[in-house]
Amino acid sequence: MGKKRSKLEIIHDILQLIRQKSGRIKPTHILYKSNLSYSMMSDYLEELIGKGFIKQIKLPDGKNTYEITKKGDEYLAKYRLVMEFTDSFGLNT
Amino acid sequence: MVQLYLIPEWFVNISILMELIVTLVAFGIAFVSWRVYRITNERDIQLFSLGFLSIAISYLLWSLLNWIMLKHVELNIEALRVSRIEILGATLLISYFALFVIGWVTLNYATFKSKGIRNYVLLVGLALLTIYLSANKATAFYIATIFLSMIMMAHYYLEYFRKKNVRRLLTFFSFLLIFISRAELFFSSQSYAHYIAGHSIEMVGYIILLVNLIIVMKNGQEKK
Repeated sequence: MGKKRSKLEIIHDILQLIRQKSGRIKPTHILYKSNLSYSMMSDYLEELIGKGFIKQIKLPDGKNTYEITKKGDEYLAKYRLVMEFTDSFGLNT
Repeated sequence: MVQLYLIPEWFVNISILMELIVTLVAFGIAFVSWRVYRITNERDIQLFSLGFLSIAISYLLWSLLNWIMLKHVELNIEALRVSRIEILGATLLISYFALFVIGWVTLNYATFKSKGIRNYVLLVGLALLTIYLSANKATAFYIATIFLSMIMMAHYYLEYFRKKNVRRLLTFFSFLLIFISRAELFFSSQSYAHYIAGHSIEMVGYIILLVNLIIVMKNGQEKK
């Protein structure tokens, strides 16, 4: 069994999932791939929208999809620095 | 009358230089933390940055205070006895005390799991009031900062044993040195040897933090 992921690692995994799906993904796919409960996934998606990392897009059929933003892409690009920093200075967010 | 510390004449300029070095290191950590905060929007990282910013400004004020002392106090005595703080830059000294304590409380608070504005105000308020209401403000200040640095050191000790790596060991070691330096500075009103030792150990602690920061920046570079 793998170690418990930190919050920053989970955010990275969700953004990476969206990026792998050409920048847009359905919530069911996130739920399937992210190893999170529905409630946790909803909380994370809400937080990611609040941080401006993703945006919610409503499709004509009424379903939601999530699209990665420029800020979300920047998070993925600078992820190594973020992890090095938080790990070194004991900020396990 | 409050006696803060004793400095030998030959060490005044060196101590100002050391304080400026610590100021630069603390500003550097605050700057990198702020960059990481801008990427992540995480409150803990923002607090960490603001904590180091507060410490950096406090050291800048301390170096300014020592520089003013150097200009005001006669140099033909064996040691500069800093007394009557009301006359010698009391505003600078009080600002230094306040910013230093706020900085350390903020650093501690950033590592807490549960947060809330009331908790933060309580911690800052208690720390500042204890110093303000104390008959010997310098002693209260040193004891408060020894305690705050000890809690940080304990945090990094546990962090290191939770996941052992060189960077965490360096962080723990630097905070250990800062804690020892605070304890040394506590005795600096009795002998200037403690002031010299405290200042020197403190600078080494901050330089280790700088080395760690450089490693973080180097390892954290984007892959081309």
